[in-house]
Amino acid sequence: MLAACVIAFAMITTVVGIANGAPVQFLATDLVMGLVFVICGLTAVWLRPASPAGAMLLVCGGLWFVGSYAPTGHPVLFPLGFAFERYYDLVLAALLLMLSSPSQRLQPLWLIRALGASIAARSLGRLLLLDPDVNFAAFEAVEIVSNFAIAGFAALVGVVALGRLMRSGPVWRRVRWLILPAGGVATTAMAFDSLEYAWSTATGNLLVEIEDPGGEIFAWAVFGARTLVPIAYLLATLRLRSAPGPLGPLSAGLERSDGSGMVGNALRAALGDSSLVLLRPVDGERWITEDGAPSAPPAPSDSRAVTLVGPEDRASAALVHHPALLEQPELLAAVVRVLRLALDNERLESELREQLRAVTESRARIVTAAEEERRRLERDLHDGAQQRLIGVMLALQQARSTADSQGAPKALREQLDAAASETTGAINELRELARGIHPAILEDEGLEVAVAALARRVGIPVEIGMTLNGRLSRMVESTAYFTIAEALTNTQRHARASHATVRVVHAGTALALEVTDDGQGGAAAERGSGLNGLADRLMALGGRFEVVSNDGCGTRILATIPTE
Amino acid sequence: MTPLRAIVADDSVVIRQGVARILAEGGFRVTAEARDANELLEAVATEPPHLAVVDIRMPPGGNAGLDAALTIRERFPTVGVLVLSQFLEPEYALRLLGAGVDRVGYLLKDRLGEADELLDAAHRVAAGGSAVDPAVIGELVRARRRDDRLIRLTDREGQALALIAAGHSNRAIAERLGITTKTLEGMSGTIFGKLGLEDDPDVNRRVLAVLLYLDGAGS
Repeated sequence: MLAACVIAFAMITTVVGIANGAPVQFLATDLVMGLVFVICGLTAVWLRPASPAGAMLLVCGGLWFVGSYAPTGHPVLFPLGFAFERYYDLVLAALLLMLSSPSQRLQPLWLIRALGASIAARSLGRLLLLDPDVNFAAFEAVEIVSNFAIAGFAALVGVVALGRLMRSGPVWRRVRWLILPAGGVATTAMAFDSLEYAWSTATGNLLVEIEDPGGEIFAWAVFGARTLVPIAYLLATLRLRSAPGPLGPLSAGLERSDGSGMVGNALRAALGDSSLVLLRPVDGERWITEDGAPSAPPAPSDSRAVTLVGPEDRASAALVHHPALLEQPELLAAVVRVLRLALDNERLESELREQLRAVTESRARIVTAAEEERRRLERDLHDGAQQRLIGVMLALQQARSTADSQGAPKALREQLDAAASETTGAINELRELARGIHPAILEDEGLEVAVAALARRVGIPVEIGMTLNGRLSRMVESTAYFTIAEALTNTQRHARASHATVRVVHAGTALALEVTDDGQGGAAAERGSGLNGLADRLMALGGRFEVVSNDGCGTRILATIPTE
Repeated sequence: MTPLRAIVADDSVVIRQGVARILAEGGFRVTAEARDANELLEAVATEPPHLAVVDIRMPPGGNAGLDAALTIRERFPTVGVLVLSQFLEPEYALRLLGAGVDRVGYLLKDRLGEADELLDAAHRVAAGGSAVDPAVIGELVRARRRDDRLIRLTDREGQALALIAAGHSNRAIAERLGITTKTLEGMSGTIFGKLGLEDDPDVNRRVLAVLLYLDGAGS
């Protein structure tokens, strides 16, 4: 719509120009330059609909042709054209200030207002004072002052905009080599133009005297320098679009990352925004930074924009970034998608780790509880059932003694003896049972003594080498004891060995066990359920278990138990 | 002859009274009964007996009985200590006998069913001798004979060795094995020869030598 108006205006201007006998060369050049603004503006609107820059360029194109009426010499159109020429400078200055501003807003407003006021003053002077009846000196004065002001403010716009571009917003850093020179030349041209007006009005001479055709070409060059801005802007936009996507490096960065700090760095690199901050929610209420420091909830402000990762009510992260990034919604959306994947993955992974930790802990707890239970059972057997059986035996013994003294029948005495003998057997069996469940000697005297007692009961000679510094924790001692016991039982039952060796070393943070025999080998943890149970038990405590048993080469059982 | 004084310590009242009864029937005068280690030590300090029969496992916890027995042996050398235990492991007995084999005994509670065995051990300990449960000695002998194949003790010699280690006199051993004292002395010479030990006429020293040997300290 705007574009149609501008193009129509351009046509009218050209037609009017031709009708009024303006030089064709002038009209053609003017038309081409104006159309550059229109075409670039249209393309920019199409490429970056979110940005007002394209529309501004179109407006520039429209304003371009206003000045074209000046050279027509038409009695009405000439003064209007002359009065309102070069308003596109104001729009161009605004565009440069906007593009260079960190928030992509028109800042500082006062500068644009000052420039606008100066141009408006010039227009008023030309409209009201350029009359032979009016004092010509007043026109000249307004012309000189306003043009000096315009030159000054235009130069200032150049300085501000270029300075800011040098320091660079995130989006423009990549294309500043395009925008910087174009903006520089354009603002210099603006300033020079107005300076020339002021100077020539004041002195009657041109600031830069070049003989034609050089002078004319120079004038056109200054005039046309403005078109560099739309061309540069268009090229920059195209370049930003065709620039290699940041997602590849981002994914790579996220893959490498092992902490959220790395994620932040990958994001900053991918989006080209060094000011970007990644916030993560904790407990649904609070937010933390990448370092884990508490942070205020993410909220947009003049200079910061917020993009949430995931649904609004339960975002998995928030990016607090430069508002300029909002102009690249596709990029931002793509980055957010990748980030969301990465964060979801991270969350799942940490959930999995947490579950694994919980399972590992509960497995260790189960084994520990079973161990405590065995100890309790052993105590109960000794202090309960066994004591009672001994009581029974004492009673039988007393009965026997009474039977003796009172001359009871031989049959009764024999029955009492048989009962006593049965009771003794029960006591012995109970003792064996209790020892198998949990040997008291292990708790009373420690691993070395308990293993020595154990080895004594094995049918083959057992050599023991043990270097311990005092007692270990109950859990470690009993696990080591039962590992050795099971290994020796295995040796005795299946290995047909003539000799076994037990070595125990407490090295660093672990107890290392080794039980070897010179038997027939062929034992495997899978086969014997006893060895299987051992492996489970050791692993539940974070230990390791290994059986090396080749046919004919004896069996070697290795185990480690963490002691810390 | 004044009866020998004895103290019985066990946290089970049934066992305490049973032991006291057997001791009384065997000619001891039970002067005190203790339910835990502290009561035992107090009673011994109040009136040192000839014999203290002590349960290895007593309050206040763990093997407080064994610890109390060791304390008595250290502080009251004239008191004989007979520890009653449910543990077959010789390590407990060796710990008890480590400080010397006079006036000390270690019996399994199973022996409470055999009043004669208990009284025999009690009298030996009270008289300054030693007594180690044959089952406990058996553990040591079995392991030793298994390990040391050079020593070919006959079954008979093994039995004799166990009885020697248990602290019996030659006469008692001969009686148990149903042989004459002369025969036993010959056999004991053979046994000690095979073990490479000196036969010692002192019963207590002989017990210690055999125990140490059996435990492997001599090898």
